[in-house]
Amino acid sequence: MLKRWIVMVLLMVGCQPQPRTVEVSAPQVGSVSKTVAPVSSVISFLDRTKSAGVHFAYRNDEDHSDFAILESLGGGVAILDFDRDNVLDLFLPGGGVFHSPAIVGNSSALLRGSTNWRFADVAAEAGVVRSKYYNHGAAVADYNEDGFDDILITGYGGTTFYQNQGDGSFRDVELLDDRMWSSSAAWGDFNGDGVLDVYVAHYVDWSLDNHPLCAGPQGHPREVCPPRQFEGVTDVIYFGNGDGAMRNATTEAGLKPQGKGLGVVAADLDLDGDLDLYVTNDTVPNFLYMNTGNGAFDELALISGTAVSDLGTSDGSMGVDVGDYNQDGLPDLWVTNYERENNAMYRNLGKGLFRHVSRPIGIAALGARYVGWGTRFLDVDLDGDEDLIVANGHVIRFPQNTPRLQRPLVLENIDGARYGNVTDQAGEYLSAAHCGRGLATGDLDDDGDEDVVISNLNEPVAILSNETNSHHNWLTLRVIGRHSTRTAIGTVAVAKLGKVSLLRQIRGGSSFASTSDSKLHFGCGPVTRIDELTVTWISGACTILKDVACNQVLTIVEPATASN
Amino acid sequence: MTVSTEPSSSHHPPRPYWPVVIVVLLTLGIAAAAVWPRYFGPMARYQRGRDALISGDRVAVEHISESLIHTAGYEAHGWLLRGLLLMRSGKLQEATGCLGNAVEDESLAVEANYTAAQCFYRAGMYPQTVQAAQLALERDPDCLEARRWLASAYYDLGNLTHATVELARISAAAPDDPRPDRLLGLIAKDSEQFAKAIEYYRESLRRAPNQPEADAIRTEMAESHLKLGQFAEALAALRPCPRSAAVLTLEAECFNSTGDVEQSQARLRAALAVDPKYFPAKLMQGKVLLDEGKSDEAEKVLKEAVQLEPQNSQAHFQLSQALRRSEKITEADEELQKMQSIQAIHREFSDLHEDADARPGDVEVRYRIGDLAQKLGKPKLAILWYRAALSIDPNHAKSRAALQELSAAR
Repeated sequence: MLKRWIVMVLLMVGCQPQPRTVEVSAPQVGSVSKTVAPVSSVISFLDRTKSAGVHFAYRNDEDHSDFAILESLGGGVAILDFDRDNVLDLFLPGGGVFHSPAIVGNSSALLRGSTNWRFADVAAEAGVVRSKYYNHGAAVADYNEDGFDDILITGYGGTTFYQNQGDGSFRDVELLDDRMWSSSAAWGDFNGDGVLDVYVAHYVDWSLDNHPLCAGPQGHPREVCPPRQFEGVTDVIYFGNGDGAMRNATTEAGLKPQGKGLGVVAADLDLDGDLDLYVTNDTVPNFLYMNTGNGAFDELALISGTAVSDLGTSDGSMGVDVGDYNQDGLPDLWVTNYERENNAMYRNLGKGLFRHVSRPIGIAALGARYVGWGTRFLDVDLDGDEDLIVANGHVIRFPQNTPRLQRPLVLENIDGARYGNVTDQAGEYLSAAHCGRGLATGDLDDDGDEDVVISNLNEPVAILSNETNSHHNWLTLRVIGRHSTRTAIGTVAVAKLGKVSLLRQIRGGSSFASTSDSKLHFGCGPVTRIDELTVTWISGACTILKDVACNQVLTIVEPATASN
Repeated sequence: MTVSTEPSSSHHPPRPYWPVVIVVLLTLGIAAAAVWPRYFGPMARYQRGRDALISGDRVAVEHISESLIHTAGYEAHGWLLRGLLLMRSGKLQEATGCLGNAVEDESLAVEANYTAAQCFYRAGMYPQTVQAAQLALERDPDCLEARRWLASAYYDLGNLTHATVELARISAAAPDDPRPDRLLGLIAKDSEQFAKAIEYYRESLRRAPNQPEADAIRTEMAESHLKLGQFAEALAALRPCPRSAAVLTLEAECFNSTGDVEQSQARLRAALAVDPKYFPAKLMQGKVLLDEGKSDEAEKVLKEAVQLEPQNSQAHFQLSQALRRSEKITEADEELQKMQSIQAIHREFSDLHEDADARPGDVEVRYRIGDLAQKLGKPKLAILWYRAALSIDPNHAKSRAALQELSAAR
């Protein structure tokens, strides 16, 4: 059993003032050696769902045969430690039913984790079983800064906010006045006032009164209508007032109208010390909101090259994450898309520009036969570079080009230059087809590598333990903000291992309708000590640690003064 | 020597010869009665008329049809012959008039109707084609000719759902005919049903591997494979094709998508050597240069691409990226604007196609598609849609004017 070290770090080394902008020239693909571990391991995941006693499934009520677009979205996964017992738990939205005139939610599950991969559903005791709305996503953050994770549930007709009472129970609090159809949400302190804000992505204007009949392919009189049949609904951003309430700040933030939002990630994309937002839209251009520093945004997706595909056309975009796939020190954007559209890797070129590089890095070689949803960067084999995992599954009932049930994808990062598909070898669950939607990552068994939870449509959630026998070293970093919000979304950590620098960032949102564990994970390969670990807090403060031992969970608290 | 001209003074009295004559005449009469209709009767004339049609003996056809029109009980045969002749002479409207008279005879009604359908189709009168073909099929559901014209009319009217149904029936009824499956493939590909398109193309090639269109079919099949990300299959489909710029560029795209940059660039170079102005190769070359971070070179190539196809949104998009990297912000913004306005046209263009399929009698939709096709730099397509509009309403002034303008320009 690995020793778990908790280090409250107050012996900080002063660091350089955080620059407002970072200028990095465009790197050539594959120009730098990116890995700390030259030998790759056999990537493997074990399906622990049944042995964990978990049978919970998201139900979309498609048996009702209403062919409503509402049924196509599915649900997410949240990995959190709601009771602070240092064992990760799961929150799973349950979906809903739509019997005209009422659209109501199914019960959610709160699975408390215990050792040896066992989970117990404590939703009823915790007071989160009830769902007012047909639900989709779960966005987790410590909104009221009390040290306990709170849960925002997105869905049709409204959001639900469950405030953690700290005693194992939650209280349903009316936090947002949002009655639109919401899919994903991302927490973050967008205006830098030390109070968490939240961005809520809205989908389309479907309702039982706006429910057209769409013809199916030959032999099927009806099919779920495509999103272009509906108008997009403008997303909304709420700023925390600091008194527990939130205000609708959509106008002051300068959000664009419409969009058909499905995924959102909050991260500092230009490393200028404030939180930016990237929103994946279905069939219309994606949004890239660059923060001007005070919570007002410039939407620059088209200009930056992140709005559309490499063909210049809008994709049906669903999932999203931010990582530094080529280890050039700049956060890149990863977006999962509809069939016949390649999942998109937008390489950050610096200066606010990105390049769609899915073809040169081998993503296009996967074949455009997947409908991609939840996704995360994670270093599966702990070799230092960030691999990818994607949940796939079709949105319509009778797809013509690809099957409805689809295999997930595990993509191994090869030297920061290319991705290879290693799904075949990754275990029984991943080799089979599912109707995947939400996906979240976290180290559920505290062995140093990240495990995965995937939510499927009308099929039990999948709890997958990472069994990749890499013998590689690792470092897990938990950061706790003080001037930054406690969740410290946007905080960037860079680990230097010889000539290689690994950048990780705490993201708000990401994937689809899901929340991953907020700890940062570094794969160290054969290296046992990290030369230097720099944590740049979103507040601007900086923490530098030298000669950090691997194979520990390191907790770093933001320094007391904001400057250093 | 003396030759006597006196009758022989034989001892037998002369036999009367008339019975023989009668017998001969009777025999001849019977024979003539039996043979006459076969060689000289109205049906014989009709058959000779059909042979004359085939041999191109216009005068004979005119003569025979005229005589049949005035032969009681065979008027319809005469009208059918005349209708066929007029159709071959390109006098389509007159032909349909004659064929209309021919349908009076039940035995000729099917041919008269499908021939009328052909005339209407050739005259660009697609709704009338549909009507005439359907009349033929009411009498003979197995009439392939009628079904072919019906499918063609549906296709040209933009009613792809019905066209697909008819083509599938033709394909089943004529198992050696490669054409229906080729067209089915094209329709499926246009409808972005690429897996289906590939099945149809395969079937067409199975029926006739050496058909004149084989290479075009293989190229379309490769494009469908590419859309599905089946790069090895796309390359296999292209292997038998001649090394045209199009084939080489598609191969380059396959290699580019699988990360084989070297092979991809070699194919691109070869494509541009075959045709230095081949737009898809130019565009792809620009993109590859951008991927390599060579913004200046990319800008030059992409500007050439934009000149080759000013209405291609992708070219403007890539050029804007190249310009932005070189910090030519104003120019980059202009290119982005062009891209957006072209895409707006494309979106409307695509939506209207669905409307056209759903509303076969909608003239305005067809006119608007023609108008947008013109704006997108596709004059041939525009002409087809204007014609479709005029086939529904011959007096549609905007379509007529646009068609005249286009014809004058061409």
